Amino acid sequence: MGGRPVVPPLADDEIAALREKWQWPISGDPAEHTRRGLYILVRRNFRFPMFEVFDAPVNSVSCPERDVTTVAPQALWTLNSPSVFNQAKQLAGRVMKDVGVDRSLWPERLWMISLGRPITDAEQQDAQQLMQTLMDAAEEGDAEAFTGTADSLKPTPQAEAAALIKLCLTVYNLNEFAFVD
Amino acid sequence: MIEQPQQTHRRDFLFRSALGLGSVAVGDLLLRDNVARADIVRNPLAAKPRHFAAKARHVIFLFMQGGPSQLETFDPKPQMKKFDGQLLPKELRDFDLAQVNTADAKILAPIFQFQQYGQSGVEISSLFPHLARHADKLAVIRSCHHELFIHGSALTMMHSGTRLLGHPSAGAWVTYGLGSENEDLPAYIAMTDGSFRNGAATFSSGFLPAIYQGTYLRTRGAPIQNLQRPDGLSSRQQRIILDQLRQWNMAHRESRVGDSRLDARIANYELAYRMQSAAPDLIDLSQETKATRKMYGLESEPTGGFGKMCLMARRMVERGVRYMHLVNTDWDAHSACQRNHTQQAEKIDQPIAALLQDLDQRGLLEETLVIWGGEFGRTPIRQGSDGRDHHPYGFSMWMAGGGIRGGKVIGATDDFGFSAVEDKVHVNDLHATMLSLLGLDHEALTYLFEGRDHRLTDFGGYNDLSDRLTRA
Repeated sequence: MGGRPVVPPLADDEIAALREKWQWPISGDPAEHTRRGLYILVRRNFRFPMFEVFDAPVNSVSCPERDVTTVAPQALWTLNSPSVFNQAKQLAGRVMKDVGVDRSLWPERLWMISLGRPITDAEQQDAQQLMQTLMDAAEEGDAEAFTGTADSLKPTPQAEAAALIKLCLTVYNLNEFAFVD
Repeated sequence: MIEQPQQTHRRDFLFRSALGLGSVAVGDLLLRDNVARADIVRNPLAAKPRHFAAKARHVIFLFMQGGPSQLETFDPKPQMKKFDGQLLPKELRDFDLAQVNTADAKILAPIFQFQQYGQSGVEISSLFPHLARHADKLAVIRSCHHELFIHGSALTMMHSGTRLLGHPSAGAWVTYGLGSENEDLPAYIAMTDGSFRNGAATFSSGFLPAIYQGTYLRTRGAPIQNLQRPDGLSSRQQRIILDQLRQWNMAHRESRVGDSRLDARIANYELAYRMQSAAPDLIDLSQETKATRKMYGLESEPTGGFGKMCLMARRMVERGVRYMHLVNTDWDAHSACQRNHTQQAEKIDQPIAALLQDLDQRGLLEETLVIWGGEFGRTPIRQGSDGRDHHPYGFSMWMAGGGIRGGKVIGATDDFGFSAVEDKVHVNDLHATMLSLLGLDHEALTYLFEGRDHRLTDFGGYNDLSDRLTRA
């Protein structure tokens, strides 16, 4: 609690909405960047881009009620944004840390962590198949570009790690993940 | 979206029909036309048949948020000069207004000169020298009115035809009624050079299925964020992921029929995938010639902001976007009306004139209905020394394109520009007119919600101007 507001890094196209780059002084300590959104710097003339996609109120007028929309830019955010991608990487690392490098064990653990329920047989099969298809479809250099050099992914072959990250990304996009019953 | 509707239970089918067709309008179609049924059930945004033939296929609503003064724009009252500083006549002293009191506030004579333009001689104030060149394209309506003198409720009325929150915006109704003509972009787009005073409610789908809500495009920075895939994830791989995602989402939906958010979200992934290739092309204004960019005032201030929005709107019309809501802020001239309106007009005059000319040159104006107006007008009486308060009892708007034969003026206010007296046009009538020009019957475009059929025009809309507007 308390302290200075957090200023996480932004992509170039996101920061372009600001008049001057110095108006978004990125917090020096990277550990700060993953703090809850509540702590993110609020400027009157700039809404944090991710919040904007998810209907954050305008800062200059009062807000009697929070709006809820379901529009395509939100799907783009959960598919392509660097922050979701980073989260998928972290999640993949956690799954591997929990159950090791055997990829037949990954989906079950992933389902439990992210959806809070056991995976069904059909889903297990689909998930394995998805990873395999993605590996087959990958081109030279894809896996390297995708996984980077994160230590948490180290013992696993890069192609398989990349496939798990993509599976994690898929799970983040599930309706079941987005909506609580 | 649903592969085999005939194999589902009737109750289930009706529930799913709420996807985009719990309504009588489309419900009728279901019974009458099996082809339409198959189409609509598969994709709630599929282009739908109209109620009757019409020319307009797109709407660009140029919304002047804050409320521009009728007396300074399209409703000349030169005779008011001699009453400047006097009280209103007795019969006008009993109206409710937001901040000023009709009983003791003094008349403020119109600030700007008017002149007749074009062959038709439509009168336009000196605020709009560029727009004036297109006077013969405009149908000015001087008798708009409603009864709400506060921004929030007046905006709600203008956007959704009722003062109550939670109703669908006009663009959502139109999208619901006509579907989309472009599978790669949203059917309904909202943009602003400032902010939407009513937030996302401005382009909300209300109680209609979520798929019909507007998509907000930013005007600074990238209009649509996250169009770029992460490195190492090809379009082909993303397609594989989306196919699996869809399969899992459909399975999840099986036991949760009737939640339109789930359907909207499933559809959104498909739209998002296609937007990745269609949207960069849409927003790349560098494809436009130097002359076009100059015409819209793109490289100069203060026209740059709204100019960009207008040019984007033209590009969207070309690509089949159905409804574009463009908001210019802020006309709320409680003080210094002269300065405020001069500044605002300078932002929009050249871009709007360019939009009309550009659409016309490309043969698109005939199929695009352009509407200009705010949530209300401003008082004939002064607030402070030189301001005007909110005024919903008589104000001006104009329409152009979409089959309208321009160069005409409809309706009139009284001698003081206070109340609409001739040919009164309520917001419901405006909406009915808009729907009519699009080929939709405002009484047939209904949606069953909380036990009754709702419509954009609520209980009104019986002064449909479309016939008169399209006649010479």
